[in-house]
Amino acid sequence: MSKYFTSILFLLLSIGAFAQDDEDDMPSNKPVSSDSTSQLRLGFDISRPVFNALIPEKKSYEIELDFYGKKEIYYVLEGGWGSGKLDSTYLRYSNSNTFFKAGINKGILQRLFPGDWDMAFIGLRYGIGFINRSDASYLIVDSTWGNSSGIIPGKNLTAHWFELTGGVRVELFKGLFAGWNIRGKFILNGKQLKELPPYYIAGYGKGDKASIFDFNFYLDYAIRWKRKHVKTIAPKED
Amino acid sequence: MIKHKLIYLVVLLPVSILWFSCSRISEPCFQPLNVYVSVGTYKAADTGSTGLDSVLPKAVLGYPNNNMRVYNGVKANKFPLMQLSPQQDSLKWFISTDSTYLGTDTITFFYNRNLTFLSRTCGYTYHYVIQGVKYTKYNIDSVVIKNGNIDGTANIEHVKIFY
Repeated sequence: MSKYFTSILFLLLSIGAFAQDDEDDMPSNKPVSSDSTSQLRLGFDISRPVFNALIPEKKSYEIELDFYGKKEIYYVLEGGWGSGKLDSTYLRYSNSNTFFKAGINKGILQRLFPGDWDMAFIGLRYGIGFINRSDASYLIVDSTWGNSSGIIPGKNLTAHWFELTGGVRVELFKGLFAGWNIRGKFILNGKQLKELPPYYIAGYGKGDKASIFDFNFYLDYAIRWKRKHVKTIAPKED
Repeated sequence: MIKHKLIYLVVLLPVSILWFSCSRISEPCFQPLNVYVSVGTYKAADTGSTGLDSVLPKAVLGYPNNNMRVYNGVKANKFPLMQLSPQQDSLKWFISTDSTYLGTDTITFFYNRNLTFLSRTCGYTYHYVIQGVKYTKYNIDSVVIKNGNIDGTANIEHVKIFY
């Protein structure tokens, strides 16, 4: 588990280093926050269709929706669907699932100006996946007694996990963002999945792994509106 | 400005390449697919269950139903490669102390078969729990099941045969 914490920390520190460069270039008298605007952002993970084409035994599609509250807290909902298929000498089965995640992101960069929505963040998620595993056919190879085979009946399973995540979103054009998340994922009910685990759980990863490293690359579109009765925080003075 | 922002996005590139490379590494099956019954031969002692190792001069061990010899004239007192059958609930072995087959004994094991999941890459196998044993006594004094769980655990002697 510690290796994921370390990896995420390392990447976030590198983001922080970029951010520091930006701050050095900017005048010191700058606003620190602007909570007068709300933002709703919808994104689609554009890396998944690419990997779906390259790795045919795994398929997943993921979308995200986040809402800016205040104090650099974003409320996040994510969801998607996918499937996995194992076709080996010893075992043959498939599974499909939908998943949902909820959590928050905390922006860790200071805004450079009130309309600055570029962000680096760290976050937490709780994830749940509803899995349908097909009948599995197995083959036991035995040179002494001869091969034997059989069918394990299909099953509906539920997976729970939590995630530590970090990443960036940059506004390339007005309202259009690109960015990525790296994720350390940790299964919460691994014992229930131990007996013939799903080959691939969309939203999580390999069903037989207790922890997973993963990433997403999102394209997002945001809409913004002014809030009523919101105090604007005054700029800091040196 | 856009160019500067793209630096943030490019940070992910080596991560994605590494992730994809790891995803494509196929996972071979490193686990043993069959489990074995480990047998030791001993000289009977007064206590009945303990004994000194008894080396068989030319041991022959096998299965009468397919006439297969697993050991054929070996000088040994440990026989770790005997098996039970996944297709039956009982199995007879034959065991002879030398290759003349004089006084060949048979041992019949009665057991439960448990279909056991190994891993996604190795699939399933059968593990066994020995419930009982019957044997002839031409040369054998007694047979003791020390550990009836045949599940691939290393360094366990399952059956002791006393002469």
